[in-house]
Amino acid sequence: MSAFAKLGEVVTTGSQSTISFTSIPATFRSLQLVVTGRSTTAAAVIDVALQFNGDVGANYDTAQTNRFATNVNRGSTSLKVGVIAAASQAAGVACSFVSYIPDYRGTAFQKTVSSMSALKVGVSSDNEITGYYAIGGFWRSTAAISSILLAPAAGNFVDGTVASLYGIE
Amino acid sequence: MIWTPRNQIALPRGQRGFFTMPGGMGASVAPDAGALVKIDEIVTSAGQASVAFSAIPSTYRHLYLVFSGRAVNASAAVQIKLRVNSDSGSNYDSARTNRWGSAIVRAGSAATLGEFAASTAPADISMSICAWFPDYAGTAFQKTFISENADKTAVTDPGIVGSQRCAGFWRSTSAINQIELFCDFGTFAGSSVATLYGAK
Repeated sequence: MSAFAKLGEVVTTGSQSTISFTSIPATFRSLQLVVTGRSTTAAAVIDVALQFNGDVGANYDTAQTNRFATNVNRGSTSLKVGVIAAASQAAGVACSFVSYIPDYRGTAFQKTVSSMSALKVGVSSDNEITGYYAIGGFWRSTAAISSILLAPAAGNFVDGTVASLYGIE
Repeated sequence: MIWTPRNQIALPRGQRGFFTMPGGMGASVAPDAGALVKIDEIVTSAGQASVAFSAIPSTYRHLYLVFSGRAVNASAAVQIKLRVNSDSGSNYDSARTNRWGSAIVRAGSAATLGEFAASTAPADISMSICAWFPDYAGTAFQKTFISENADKTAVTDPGIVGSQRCAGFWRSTSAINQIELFCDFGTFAGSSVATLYGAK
């Protein structure tokens, strides 16, 4: 087995509303997710929501920190795993994020997600954001993670959005 | 679950698109081994002004860079700048965030990827940068970079010991085929090491 293996990849088509990785094997120690793209919703940027194992309950907690503030959401039905550009951005602008999910197959502890996101909202003013978004996410479950569902908080993924899932031994 | 040609399976009803499975049609969710491949490595000579990876193949999905070293300049640290595809136009936006705040560059001629220790930092201290370049060969969107930087310029207060994060953007949808790294002031010390990986 390789120390770093690709488990799956989605390049979105047909304005799809979700990206799903299913039947994730329990043979690695950690997962890494790399996403870059855009949403169709009428905003500058939009959060990408994540659910594990089809759990739609209020079992997720998230803290997002950028250079202006920290936003905390507790007991949500998904965690905010990253940020992508949206429809009011200049054409072609994308945002991306990289996420680590340690010990995803363990059952001793509830699960955590650590993400870093490159965020760009406009380019002409200090009140606009070009920066780094740090995200800590938590799933209130000790179950092994076997599936991951990603969806923009609003709108759909613009075609060509890329999500790659890797296993780290 | 419906099998489709090649190596894709349809998503459940109500979800569009496909989940692409490695390994070809009929494969279980078998990992695609060896997904991180070293493309090239550069060990700098003393006084080297830049590090350049050229003719980067477009056969990977993402790029991952690990860069560790030191600079030669009469300062505690210098910024490490990034250009791609030899584009020196005003086409880069970047933000560098540490425990004191953020420094933003809009429409710059290069992006900031992190910092290296320089000549007035204690001897032998180095700094390191790890950076992702998602979908570097794609042409649908403009390009982004995300980096983490271990930052140390002193061993006594109020010198810096910390971490930095940089987010960068290149205002082009072109595939990246060349990456150049240089110091905003000075040159690289000898034995700085830059390694570029392709993630399948």
